[in-house]
Amino acid sequence: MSAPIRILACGSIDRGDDGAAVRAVRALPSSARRAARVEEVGYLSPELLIGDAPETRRLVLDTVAGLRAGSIVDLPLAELPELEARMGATSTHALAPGAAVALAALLGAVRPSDRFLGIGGSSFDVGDGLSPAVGARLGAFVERVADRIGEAS
Amino acid sequence: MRTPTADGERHFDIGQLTRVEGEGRLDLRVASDGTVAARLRIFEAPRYFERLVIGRRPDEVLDIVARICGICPVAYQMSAVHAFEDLFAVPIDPAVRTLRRLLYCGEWIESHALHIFLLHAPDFLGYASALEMARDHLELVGRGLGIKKLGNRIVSIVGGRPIHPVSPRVGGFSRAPRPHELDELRAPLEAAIAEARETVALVATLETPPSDREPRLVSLRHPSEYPMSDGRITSSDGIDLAPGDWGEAFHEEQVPWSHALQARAADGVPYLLGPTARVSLAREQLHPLARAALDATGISPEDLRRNVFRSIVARAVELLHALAEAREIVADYQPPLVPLAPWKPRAGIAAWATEAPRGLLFHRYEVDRAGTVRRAQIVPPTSQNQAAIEHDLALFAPEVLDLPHDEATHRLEQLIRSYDPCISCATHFLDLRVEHDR
Repeated sequence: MSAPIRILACGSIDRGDDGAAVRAVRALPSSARRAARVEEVGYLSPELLIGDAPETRRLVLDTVAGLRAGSIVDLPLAELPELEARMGATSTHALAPGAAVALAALLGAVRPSDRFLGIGGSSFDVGDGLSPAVGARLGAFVERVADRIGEAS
Repeated sequence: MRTPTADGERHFDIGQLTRVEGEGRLDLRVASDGTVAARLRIFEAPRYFERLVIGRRPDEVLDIVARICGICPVAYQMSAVHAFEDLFAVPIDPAVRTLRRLLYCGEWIESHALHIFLLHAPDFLGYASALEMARDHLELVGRGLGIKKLGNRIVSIVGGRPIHPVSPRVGGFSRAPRPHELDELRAPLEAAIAEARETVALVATLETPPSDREPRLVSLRHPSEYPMSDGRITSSDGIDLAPGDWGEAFHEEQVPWSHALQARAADGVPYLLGPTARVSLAREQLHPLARAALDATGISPEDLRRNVFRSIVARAVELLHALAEAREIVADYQPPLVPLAPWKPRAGIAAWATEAPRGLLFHRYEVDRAGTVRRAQIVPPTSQNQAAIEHDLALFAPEVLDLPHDEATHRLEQLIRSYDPCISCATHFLDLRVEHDR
């Protein structure tokens, strides 16, 4: 029996490119959706990564401000804090996603099998749809997520 | 950075406030005569929610306003749902009312745990971030995250998902949980209550900077329960209003340095909302466990009220209250006989205030005969606390002027974080003008 897969889709669908991850999970093929437990979580908070069974594989999806719009990043979740620091990214959340992952890691809740899939975003205004660059790459992002689910299941 | 100017003025500019939700900065100027001007510059883009709900039906409004905040969506739903139900005279099953309190407890637990353990505690323990603090106090951070996760779970079970709940409806819930679904909460609540009691005792020992002011406090009060969704709007100086009559004593105004409207009492004086106000005004309605824990700290009501940095104690007391009340609701839970009462719209003003984790949250909707919203006003707690924050910064600044710059900056940020501001919630414009080229 395959390991359970949990998808944590971050972002707000009503805030432009910030909704890319949520749009991506809603666009997943039904076979991929059936193979995973999909959660739209708003923002990544450390406790979301705590308490899963050890064999559970997690994929965290989010938009990344500062990355070229539409470009896709796919890396071990444990490397997200480093990416965030390298990009000098600031977060509007009280606890930035990288800090959330680092905290969870200190508590032993981040595993080598956990991955982060991000897509660069450029427009985060309320009420906007995806920017053209992100809209054009959303299909590729969905495919990458589906591939990762396929590999894990 | 701090900029001493030729005329002796000193300038503290904190370009990006950290460990608060949303984007804001502090601009504080101390003139050579000692006069202090503090400006909490909220520059996060306006979010126009009062306009987004126009033309929408009440249940759509619940879904839309939940999007205002990822931390306190329940509060937005509760203020709106009570406003509509009051206007439409919807008979609510008492079990629905109890279930809504459980939902609200879940949100208070999540929000307060986040602030106490991850955002505010580092200030007192001498760390720049929760991450740094965790390296030395891993058990404390783990405790906070465990309690927060429990709050998430309560909201998820009752509200349908952990953020932006989907089950609250005008008239009740689209789906009420079955009793066995709440069973999983029993043991974690028991454990969290013990941890929260320890937390009250712990935060009461934290050394606070000197602070002494007499704030005007505002919160709901109810004769028999701790204020959440019902009661009257009261103040420490005698205001006593129905929950829909906020506008009779308070108003909003635009200030040039902020994208968020500021609220003030009719006499122009700032006022304070949130845990300190609630614990001070409704101490007798605290759960006995929470009241006993507060009493055991030895902190006097005056100290709690007058020292802005004691808000972490008030917040911890409320965390314990919410956990204890949640445990009782879960233990006695009976599903509502009528989980979703039918209702008919009617024209009028739907207005109500409930207690978000950060304080009083007021909603007012003008509704037509079909139940469609024609005008809306949403007054979040951070909008109301802004003026009090600036007032307290001006009072407090002289205490830090002799400190090294970094230490002074840290103290000023610590004071702002004492209010647990949610800037994303606060950035609403009341008025929006759209000009079209002809």
